[in-house]
Amino acid sequence: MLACKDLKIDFDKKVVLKGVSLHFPANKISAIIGPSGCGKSTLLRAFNRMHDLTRGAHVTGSVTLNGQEIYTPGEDPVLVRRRIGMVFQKPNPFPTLSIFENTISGLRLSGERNSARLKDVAEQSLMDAALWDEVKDRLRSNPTTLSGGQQQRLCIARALAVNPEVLLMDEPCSALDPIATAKIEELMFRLRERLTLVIVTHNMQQAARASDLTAFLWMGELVEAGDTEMIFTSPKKSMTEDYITGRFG
Amino acid sequence: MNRGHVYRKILGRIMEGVCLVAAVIAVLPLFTFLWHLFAQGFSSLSFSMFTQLPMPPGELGGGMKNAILGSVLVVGLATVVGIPVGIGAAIFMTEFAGPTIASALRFACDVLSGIPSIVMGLLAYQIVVVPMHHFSAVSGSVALAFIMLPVVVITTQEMLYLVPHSLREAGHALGIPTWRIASSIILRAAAPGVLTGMILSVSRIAGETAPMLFTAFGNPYLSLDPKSPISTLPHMIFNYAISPYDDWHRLAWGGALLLVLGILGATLLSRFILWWHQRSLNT
Amino acid sequence: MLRHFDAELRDLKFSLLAMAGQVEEMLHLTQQSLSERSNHKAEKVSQLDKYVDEAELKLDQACIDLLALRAPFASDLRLIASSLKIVPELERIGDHCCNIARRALILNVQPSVLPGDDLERLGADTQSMVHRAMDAFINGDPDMARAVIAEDDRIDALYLHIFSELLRGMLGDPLCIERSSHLIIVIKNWERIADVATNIAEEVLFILEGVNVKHSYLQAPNP
Repeated sequence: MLACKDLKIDFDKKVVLKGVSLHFPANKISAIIGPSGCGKSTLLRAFNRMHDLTRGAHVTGSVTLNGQEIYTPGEDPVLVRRRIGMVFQKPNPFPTLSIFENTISGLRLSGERNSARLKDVAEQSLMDAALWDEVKDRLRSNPTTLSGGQQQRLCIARALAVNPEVLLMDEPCSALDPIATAKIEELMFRLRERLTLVIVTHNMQQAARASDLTAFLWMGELVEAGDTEMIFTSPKKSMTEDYITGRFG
Repeated sequence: MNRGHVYRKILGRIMEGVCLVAAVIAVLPLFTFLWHLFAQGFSSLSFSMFTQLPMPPGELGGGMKNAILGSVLVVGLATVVGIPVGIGAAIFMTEFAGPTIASALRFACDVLSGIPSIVMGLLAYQIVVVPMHHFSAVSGSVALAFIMLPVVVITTQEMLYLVPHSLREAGHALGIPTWRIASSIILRAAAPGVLTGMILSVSRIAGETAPMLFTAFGNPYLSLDPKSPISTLPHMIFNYAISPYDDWHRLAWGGALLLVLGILGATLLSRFILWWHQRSLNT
Repeated sequence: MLRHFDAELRDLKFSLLAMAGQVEEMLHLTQQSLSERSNHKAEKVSQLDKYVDEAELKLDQACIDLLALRAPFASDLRLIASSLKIVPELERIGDHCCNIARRALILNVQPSVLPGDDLERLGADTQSMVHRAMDAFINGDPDMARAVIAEDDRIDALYLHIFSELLRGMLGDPLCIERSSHLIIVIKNWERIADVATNIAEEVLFILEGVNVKHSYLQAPNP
């Protein structure tokens, strides 16, 4: 459903991805694992054209969503990003907007004016992000009053409000404690029913717990990709085996 | 070893003393000046300063109503043009321009901010007064706007840079257009600092005298017509101060005190805004 | 990078090997108790079973601890999970040895009913299977494991051959029915030991190659 073919990315001639081809099936959680600096975040950001905002970034190859190429010249990256959302490692709610305003910011700042619809979407998104019960009485307060895990769920709600088809998550739990992490993983299982999720993680246990498919990246190249059970019980490549058992990396 | 230790201690104390003296010397003029200003000008601060027009020399009393209102008009016009343009330029530099263009623009602003205000006055003379064939409030505003612009651009740009990049990323990831991210998210996040910069730039141009000499030119009567010459407070202070009349000297001190109180008020207001914003973030 | 965990895994393997060593000692004594007609050796077998039971308890706990505390993946996971299955299999071999030893005590006081060395060969071949399965485990030798698996059929055939001989003997001479019945139980136990050795070899293959070769009739043919 979300796929890339021969994706090569360099920054001012420094090559970070050397030609990666991957396929992420619809309504599944796919994890990208690998040591620091292997290119996992770079790969993830290629899927919502975030590299368009970086000077000196060159992206070649193909990225398709449901068969449609997202890098066609003339295609507005803003429209791509409304279909492919992203959640970042450190929660980043807008500090000058209230919790309610944060949730609908993607919609309102893109032109939606109907306040009834905005209220409905806010409530639905906060429920989908398992945050509604905790914030329904303080929608007007500042998001900095929320805990780290709650802020991250707010960012997820904000991303969901735009109604994307894919949600990209760049190490979403690495700044959170284990309980907050568990809540987000539960949330991911529920979201899987209506979205495709791709998560980058350096935490092997999380990839094993939370994903259906795992892809292992090393120095900008795809080493192995497959069902998570296979990768974690009988990986085909010895490099994969050595990485996930902690013999290097 | 003990002797060396004592020697170092004494040396440390001496150096500390030297620095203290330097600090006192640096601050002394401020206190001397404020003391003098209050002593001389306080007596002339009265209601009549705001309500009466200047009297001819020899006659007692009179006020600076025309100069005060004139300053408000000229500074106000300059602000109306200078602030939006300055903020817009700063947003362009931080959110849209490439690194080379941004640094070139920043360099231009740095140069502009160092140009003496009288030169800006000359420029306004050339491009407004000469074609219009007479002095005017508008030309004064133009000169002040030129002076104000680089200050607004630089302070706004600094404040925008302080906004964490993660907020921009979040905005882009949501599919919000860049200009909207800049105006509704980044500018809002930088608002307290930007507001402070605005207040400080206004208070800076409120005290400019040299450019007014040949742009606004001055006017003994009350005039609020932008196309006519107009009196401004610093200009009037200058005229009164160099005059031979004691009464006018007294008014000049009063005007100077008024100006300084205005600037002090503006500075306090900007500090208050920052404090209030910090407090509201922490609740 | 050598991990602390690698030392723990090595300890696990050696503990398993030590348990297997005890079991092989029991097999050896069992064989000798029959061939040498030694009641002393038969009794020794039952005594050794206690150590095998103790080892089972210790190794069970060690494997559970490693699973809980080290969250293993891939080959580490397969080693520990398979060890958890090999341990009770070894213990079962010990139990079968005790069964045979008990019959030996009864048979040793009576004349033999089986001519030839078929019984000895059954015992020796079975012992060899157990030994080679554990060799495959400690040496990481998948080919040896496969060889052990392939031998199971031959042992089954040998068992059936001896069984039909005993049946014929019973039909011919009713006086040897009692002795023959005990012998049938003995050869049945040997045959079960061979089955268990095959299971162990299958586990070893899973550890080494990540492939589950059990119940081949259910597995889809390889593409």
